[in-house]
Amino acid sequence: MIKLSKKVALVGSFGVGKTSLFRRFIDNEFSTDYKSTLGVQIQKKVITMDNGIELSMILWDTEGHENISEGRSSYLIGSHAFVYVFDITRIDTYKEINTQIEFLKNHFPNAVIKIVGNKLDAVSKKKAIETLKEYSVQYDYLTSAKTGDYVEELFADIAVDVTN
Amino acid sequence: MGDENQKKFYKKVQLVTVNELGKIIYSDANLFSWNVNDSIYEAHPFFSIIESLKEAVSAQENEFTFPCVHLKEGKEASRICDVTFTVSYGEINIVIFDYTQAYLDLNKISQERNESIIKAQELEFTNRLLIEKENFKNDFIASINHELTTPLTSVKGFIELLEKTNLDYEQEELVKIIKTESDHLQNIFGDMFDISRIESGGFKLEEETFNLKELFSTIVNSNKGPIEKQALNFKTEIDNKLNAELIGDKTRLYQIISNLISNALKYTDEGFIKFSINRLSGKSSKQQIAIVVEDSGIGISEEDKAAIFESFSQLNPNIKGSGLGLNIVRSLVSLMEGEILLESKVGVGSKFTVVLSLKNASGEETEEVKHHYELPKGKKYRILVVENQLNTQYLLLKILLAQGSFFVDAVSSAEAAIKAIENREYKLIISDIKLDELTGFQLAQRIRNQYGDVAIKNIPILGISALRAPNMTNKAIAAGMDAFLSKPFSEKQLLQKVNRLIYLANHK
Ligand SMILES: Nc1nc2c(ncn2[C@@H]2O[C@H](COP(=O)(O)OP(=O)(O)OP(=O)(O)O)[C@@H](O)[C@H]2O)c(=O)[nH]1
Ligand SMILES: [Mg+2]
Repeated sequence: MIKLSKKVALVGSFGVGKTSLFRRFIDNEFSTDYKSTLGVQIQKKVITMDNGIELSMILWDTEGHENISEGRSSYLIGSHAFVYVFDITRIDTYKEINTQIEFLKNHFPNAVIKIVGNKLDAVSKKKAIETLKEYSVQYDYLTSAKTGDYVEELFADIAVDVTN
Repeated sequence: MGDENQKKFYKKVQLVTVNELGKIIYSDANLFSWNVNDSIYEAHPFFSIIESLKEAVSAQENEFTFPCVHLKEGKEASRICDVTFTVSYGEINIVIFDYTQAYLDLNKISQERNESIIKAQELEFTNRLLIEKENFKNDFIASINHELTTPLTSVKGFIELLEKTNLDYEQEELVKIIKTESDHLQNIFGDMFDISRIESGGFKLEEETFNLKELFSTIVNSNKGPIEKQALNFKTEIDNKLNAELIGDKTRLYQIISNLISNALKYTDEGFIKFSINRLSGKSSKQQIAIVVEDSGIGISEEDKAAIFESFSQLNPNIKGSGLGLNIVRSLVSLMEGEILLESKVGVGSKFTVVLSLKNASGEETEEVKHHYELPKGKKYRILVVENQLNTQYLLLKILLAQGSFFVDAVSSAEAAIKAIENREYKLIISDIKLDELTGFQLAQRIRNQYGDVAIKNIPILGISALRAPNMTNKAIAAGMDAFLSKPFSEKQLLQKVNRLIYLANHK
């Protein structure tokens, strides 16, 4: 069996739900309390993929910053994938998302990048899509860490992309 | 540094050395009890970063620091550490500083800051959604109202025509019911539209001179029938000290009082309904009046008093009505900067008092002379009807032709209307506002501006529409029309306007 280890970093503004997605994916837990993440916490989740690969995903849940370049740059080193999370219910977390994504693309040209709008449960999907369109946000997934919607799908997609 | 201090300091730092395969070759175990010969990769997933560091290392850079990393061993609480890796040939030195307490202190600040920003941003979005929802609701009501009013106009018109045919007793009774029901429906639509406009702020009160005593009589006359039909005693009273010439929104005042009276009528089975207007106080410029509607009906309990003015509240679901009437009353009264008081006792009756401060009209009379415009008998006038709703067009034709004093042509677009007026002389144009290409307003503007021939340029134009937008009359006048009639209208209302416009044009 092929064993691989890949680093996946969760980035984005504070309070968007990075820790919540991380906990939903790893332990299938969710809490409505907000405790802002301090620095970085790292956990591993091993998944066996359809093609037989056993993938150790090393998930880095980083503390949130409005601007990614304000964060600690060492956390980003060696990432195979970035999950850029924004909060659908806070326009400020995505109105300048393109600058953030450009930054990642420039510094990590080989990394997989997934753009994720979280807290889908807090707004009607129609409204979410309309608002994101208004701000020209190109997202890959709309998730809810609260209900778990699309969280598995997101990470399964990343697993495929980082092992290709 | 004393011995004790030194010990404390060392307790906060751990030194670890690993070989290129990640095997621990030295560890002082000050913080974490990792053993020599174990793999650092098993110690914590964080250390898998070493693989990337080995790739990133260069002649210029072989030291990498990771501040504020949560490290954990077994069931123990996380330590928050700064970790420095020095990558040299064959081995990697790791220095781990435990700064847990210092970091936790820092976190309190960022936590608070983040929370308050998040709250503000969420609120911004919520407001945005609320505004959108509100706009949608109001647009929806306005457009649905238009959609509903148009067919209702036809229905009501045809009922009037039907009434004039030879009906037997049973049919006549059935027609009466249909008529009452469609009036009721019309009232509900009106209420619905008023509320949505008041709530959205798109509602403006008119300022016009009116005579309060006349308004009083009008209301008394129109309510007398229905009240006495229910075997109730209708008591009315108006204060003689009142200065009757006032400035305000007569139509809305009428609506306030009518709603209160019809509310009283709904809840009173026996006894009386009393309507009175009193002067409370007055200066030269203003006068404070109290409008009182009292009944001997079922009364309202203390708990229900607050709910009674809310939209859609209907104390007795068996009673017919939209339940919107009192909500409109309250909103209109507050727009007029007045007050509404309710006294009531279950089983005894209710008393609504509206206190308003109204401006006195200055000396000169601006009162419109009530006039009955009668057209000379035996003469026929040609009217052009511009209406794209075929039912309404047919209805207008039937009403007008039945008078015997009009020739009527009907077209369904402004373009066709222009052709028609260029070929024939008309004494009046009745035009719908919402036509397909050019609107009725645009048609009026063309007629007024593009023709030198006074026979065309000055044709009186009556606008009609089911659009319940504010100030339609003003908009119609601004477009060059002479009068405006909102749908649904009665045969009488239509003929009054038609006769007046033709009469005035002939008596210039
Ligand atoms: N309704 C809803 N709330 C969510 C969702 N995800 C997260 N939250 C809430 O949003 C708040 C912030 O979530 P976190 O996961 O701590 O956000 P974060 O991105 O890790 O924040 P930082 O660590 O400060 O960068 C918490 O109160 C969560 O309960 C979601 O999908 N739906
Ligand atoms: Mg977090």
